[in-house]
Amino acid sequence: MSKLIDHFGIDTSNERNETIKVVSEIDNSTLLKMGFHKVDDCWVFLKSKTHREEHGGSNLNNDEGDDVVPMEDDTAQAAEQSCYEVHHTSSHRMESPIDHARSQRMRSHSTEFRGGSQAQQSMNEDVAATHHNALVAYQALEYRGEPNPCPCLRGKSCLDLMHCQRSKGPISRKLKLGSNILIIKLKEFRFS
Amino acid sequence: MASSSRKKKKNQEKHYNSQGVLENWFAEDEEGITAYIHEMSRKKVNIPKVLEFSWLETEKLAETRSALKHYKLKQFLEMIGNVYPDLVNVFYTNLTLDGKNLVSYVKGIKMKVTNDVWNSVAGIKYYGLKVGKGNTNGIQEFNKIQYYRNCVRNPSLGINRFHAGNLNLTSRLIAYIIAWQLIPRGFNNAVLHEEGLILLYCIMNLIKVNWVYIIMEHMLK
Repeated sequence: MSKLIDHFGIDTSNERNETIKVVSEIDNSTLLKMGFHKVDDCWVFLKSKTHREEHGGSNLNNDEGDDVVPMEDDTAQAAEQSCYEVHHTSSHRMESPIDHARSQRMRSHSTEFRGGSQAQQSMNEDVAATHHNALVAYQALEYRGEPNPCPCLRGKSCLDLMHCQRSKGPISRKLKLGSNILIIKLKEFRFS
Repeated sequence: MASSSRKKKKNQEKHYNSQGVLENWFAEDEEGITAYIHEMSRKKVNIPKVLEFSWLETEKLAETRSALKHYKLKQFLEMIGNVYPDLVNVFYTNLTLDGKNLVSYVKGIKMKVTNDVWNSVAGIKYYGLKVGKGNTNGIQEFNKIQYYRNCVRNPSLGINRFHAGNLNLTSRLIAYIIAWQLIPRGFNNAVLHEEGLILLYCIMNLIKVNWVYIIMEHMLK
């Protein structure tokens, strides 16, 4: 329109005008914003998430992998502790009578677990910590949802990591903590 | 709330009247001034985007470049210069259709935008298919869902909306140019509208479309 205004020779002196700025140009930054990246002189869609999926590798092998921080030694212990804390935090947030009763049940379960079989617990921790396949990636304790139900009879309230190891086959559990993910994978782990 | 908004409008009118600017823009046309105050004065004019064809060449985006070059849109897409937001609003306030041409008045000067004007200013001609929303004469084979599926990077994805973010590079870039330059709408550019999809289809398949007609229709909306 402004070109038409110029074309018809309309007096534009003293009028508010804005020059088309550099930011108005469609250029590399536009494509980058769209999620395309230049790889070997070619523009390809390469968003971080897609990149990970396409390459099929785990986050832990990725040099840029700043989303998930791996832990080396006290894996199961840390996971267990985090589970307990998540559970503990969540129980404090509940207010309604039903939720309150549920939280009480959950609290008693976790107390049983923590205090009930100390010897077995410590043994399990040692096994888990030294086992090569035990892999725990943990970032933060920001709780935004219930953990996935445990395959055992205890249901959602079961936060006993070692308890599920009695079941056959590999055990995989994911506890989603909002944007941060707590991934617990215990592959081909047998409790002798 | 209502009384406060009325007060605001009165103040606004007083403000404009006291400046004497509107009289200059509308050549003392009272109807135009009233329409401007109540309809157009608050509308924001988008600063248009600019596409350099040399950039397409540098970045080896040959498919996009050849598709756009086929329509001789180079002059239109590479337009640079000053933008006069107030005068553009005045232009749109007075805009009417006279036969096949757009007519408007700015500062009392009649602007009759004929095909020759379009050709000289934007380098586009009144020639080709007159397509638009609900009008696919000449491209009966066009199916928006099917075509969108053809353009997305991952065809197995479910389609809830015609989201531009799922398109492959060439389609994405052309959709962006359609949404920001050819028929800019100033909002919700992330989603392809039917009109945008039709134009994308035509551009990608090198079907001649009447850009003058399409732009005129868009301006009159």
